[in-house]
Amino acid sequence: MSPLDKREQLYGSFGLMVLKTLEALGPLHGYKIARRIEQISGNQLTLNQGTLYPALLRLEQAKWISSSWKQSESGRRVKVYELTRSGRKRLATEEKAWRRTADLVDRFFKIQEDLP
Amino acid sequence: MTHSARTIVSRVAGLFRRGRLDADLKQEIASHLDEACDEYLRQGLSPEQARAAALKSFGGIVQIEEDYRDRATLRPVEDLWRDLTYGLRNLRRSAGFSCVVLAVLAIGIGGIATVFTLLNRIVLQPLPFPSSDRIVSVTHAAPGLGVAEVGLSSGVYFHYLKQARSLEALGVYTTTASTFRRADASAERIDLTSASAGVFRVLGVTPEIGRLFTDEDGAPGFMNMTWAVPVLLSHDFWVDRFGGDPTVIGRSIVIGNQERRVIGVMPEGFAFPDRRTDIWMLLEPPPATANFARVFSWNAIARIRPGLTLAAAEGDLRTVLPRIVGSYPDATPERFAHARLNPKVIGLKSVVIADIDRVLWTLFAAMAMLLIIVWTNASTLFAVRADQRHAEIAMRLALGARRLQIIRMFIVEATVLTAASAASGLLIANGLIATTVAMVPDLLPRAGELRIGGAEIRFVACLALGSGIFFGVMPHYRDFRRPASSLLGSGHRVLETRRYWLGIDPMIALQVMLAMTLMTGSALMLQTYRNLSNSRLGFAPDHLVTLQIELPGSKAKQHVRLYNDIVDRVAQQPDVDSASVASFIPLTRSEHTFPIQSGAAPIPFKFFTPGYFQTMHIPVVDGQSLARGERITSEFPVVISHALARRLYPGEHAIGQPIRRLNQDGSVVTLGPRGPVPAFVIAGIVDDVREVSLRESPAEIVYVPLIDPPVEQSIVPTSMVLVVRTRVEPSLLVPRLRNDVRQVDPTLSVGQVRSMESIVTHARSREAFVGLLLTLAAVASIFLGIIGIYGSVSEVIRRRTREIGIRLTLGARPTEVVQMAATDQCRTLAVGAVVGLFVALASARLLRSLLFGVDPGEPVIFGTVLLVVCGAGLLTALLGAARAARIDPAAALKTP
Repeated sequence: MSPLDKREQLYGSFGLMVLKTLEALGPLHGYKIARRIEQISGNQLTLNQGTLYPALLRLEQAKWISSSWKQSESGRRVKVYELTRSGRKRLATEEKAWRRTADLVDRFFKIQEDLP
Repeated sequence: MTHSARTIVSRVAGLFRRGRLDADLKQEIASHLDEACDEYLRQGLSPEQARAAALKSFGGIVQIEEDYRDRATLRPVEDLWRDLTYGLRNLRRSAGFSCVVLAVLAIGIGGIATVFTLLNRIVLQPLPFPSSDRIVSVTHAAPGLGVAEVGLSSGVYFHYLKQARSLEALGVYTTTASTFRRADASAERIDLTSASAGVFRVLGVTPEIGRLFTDEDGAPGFMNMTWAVPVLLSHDFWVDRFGGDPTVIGRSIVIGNQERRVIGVMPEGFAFPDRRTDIWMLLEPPPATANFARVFSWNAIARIRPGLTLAAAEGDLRTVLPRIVGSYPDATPERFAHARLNPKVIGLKSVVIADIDRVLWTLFAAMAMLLIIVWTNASTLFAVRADQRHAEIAMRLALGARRLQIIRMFIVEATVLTAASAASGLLIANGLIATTVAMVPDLLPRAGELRIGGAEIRFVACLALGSGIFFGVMPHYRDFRRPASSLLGSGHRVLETRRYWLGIDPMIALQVMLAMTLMTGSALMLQTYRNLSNSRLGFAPDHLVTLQIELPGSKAKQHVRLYNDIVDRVAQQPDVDSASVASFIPLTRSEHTFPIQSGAAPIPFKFFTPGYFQTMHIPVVDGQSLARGERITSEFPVVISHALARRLYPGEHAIGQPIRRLNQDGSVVTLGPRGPVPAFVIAGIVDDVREVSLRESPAEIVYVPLIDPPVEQSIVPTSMVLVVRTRVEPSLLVPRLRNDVRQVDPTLSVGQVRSMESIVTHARSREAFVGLLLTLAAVASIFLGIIGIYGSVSEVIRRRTREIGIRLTLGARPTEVVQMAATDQCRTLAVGAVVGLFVALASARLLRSLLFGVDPGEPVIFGTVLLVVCGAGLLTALLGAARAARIDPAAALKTP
């Protein structure tokens, strides 16, 4: 893990949610992404919606997503984000890694429960 | 490309579209808030409530924007850019300060950059050949022959070629002048180097086109008349005379009236033995006719085996050499023992650079001194400026700037200035070097390699960066150790910017000391130059013009007639006073030297047509001078110099005495079956002439006339110089003189045309070069020193204006006030001058090898320099301090 990644670990899992959202729903603009994440988390994750934008910038700089100016349903000029090919690949590997980590941690919790 | 690399790339790209990124974000946030607003409105909130809720869920817009901006670009670069533009604006605002610092630093950096370039390209860089540290020059000390150094004879060459295991390759060469027949059949003088195939193997070069000499090339032998000897062309010659035509390979060209075959063109910049060579001709003598000791005239270079030291190779040659006894008819044990040959193996680079490295290091030291003066001077300027910026620093600190940020800002600002000075300095260096090479091409070895490249730019960049940091930090260093409040309070009061040590300003003392040293060096060189200019030449150089003439080999039999015909024809020109032809002229390389006594140093021989001494205005001391039309009374007459007569026949009458040319091994010259060549008879003695250099003691020389019947038959001088004394400006006659030579014989070629005066000037060019650079440095140093002292006095007055006002009010006399203001500076001056005297005395030794007719400790020079430095310093201090007396007490008391 490079220092850049380490420093942005917090954004890492957040970025993962953004990528997954874009994969599931296709191209979206910023507000929609923020709302979607809040909804999926069952409103458990109430973030400052603004923090989404630096995260989007970071994903775009890594060329995992691309953006273009479009019209929203309400007729506003909005920036629409879209998953790129390398973004898709990244999401797949991240997902795998996430599951492995989650499984591993899960197993440890199970050991805890199995103990007399 | 990894994603982190992609990230950095887009961040760098972000630097160039910051404005766009900012606008985009603003638009994006606005849309976001509007969308959120819409949703809250749909949930039934009032417009105000909806707006508030949208803002709340978005979070702090300013922080988000800040965060976004940090990520969009590279922060440090952006900060640097901001400092840079701020610095530039600031420097433009104080244009006076900027220009002065820029000019002063440009002079200092330009001076040292010039000398560094010369030093690096000539002394430090390896020669431009692969593994050039293994290339050596091979010579011999030959005390038995009375010479410090001889080259190789053909026998020694073949012997080494067969036996010396330490040498990977060995090549021999000689340089001569010859003629090249142009397309229009006219002849042109060229510089020819005859070189064996080994020379190019030693150097490890490849041709630009064609091929190099091979060992097989030499096989047909020089006796085979149908064979055209292969030659290589220099790049420049190829481009100039053949228009860079590649089909020149295989073509026949005529050199010295003989057909030669072009087999290759050397690459651009290839310069061996120096830049002058136009054509290389194969030198591969037949081993059958080789001899041990007839002539040792070949220069040799060799490539020693990897891993061997020069000493090891020299040891090998020393072991191998004695085995030559018996390999050649003339390699008898007696001859070998008599010559006392001792091989010398020297790195080729040290041979090429000769003694120029001492000169360049001396100049480097001088330029470093000048740079130190420049630095101290500029740092004072920066310090004064820093004083005026206390309020700014205090304000920035109060607003929360970190000290590091402020320092960075000052460093960037100073570096902008030093970088500009460095660029100007490089331009100065480039101009100085180009001018020097153009004006005196032979002054510096490796002149073709002189250029400002990566190393020079790095050196100057380091200087610029170093000075930038120094000027950025140094003036503010003390400010940062004080609390900000004290700075704020002192906003418009001038603080003490100098530190004194026992009442001495060390910066000024240093400047005085270095200026003393530079002045002394320059004075010594100027005195040397004057002594060289006044040295007794022995002839009159005014109104003399010289033309190099080359005779093709086929005309050798008629040389005496041809040269005399030229003189006869030229002498008829209306504006010509007199003319003659000689084999070389004073202060240029001599062509022929021969021993005249066994075991003594060889003496130069000069061939001349009658009338030479009259043309040159060389006074006759005794006997005949062989003037034109003079009746010759003796057989085989020669003229010798007074110095030679004094040595050979001290206190005797030398006229009529015999003198004999010998072989290099001391044996009598024989001419085939006719037996020994008859001895010359001394017919006349002429005054001594500076033949070799302006420094050397009057030359010993034998003048051999070209008359009928011939005096010397075994040598035909084919490279001669026509010397003409004119009644008008010499250059006006040159076209007519060229025409005369062509009229006598069109196959003769006229080479370099130079006036005798320019040759004399040229002989002092090295001293002139060093003297000029040192004088420039000295003048700059004294000028800067004066500015430094004046600035220092002015500052004392500024700082003590109130005090001076009070003193004047209380009745102090003006002289007392002036004295008060100048005391410290005078003390500083005295200390600097005394220390400088010793430093100058020590550094003058560096110049010893360059000096002529002046002692490095010459008291008159030191006295004069001391007087000038102290006088100028004192005058400046007093003039500056005189302003103290003019202070108006009433106004002074009102100053804060």
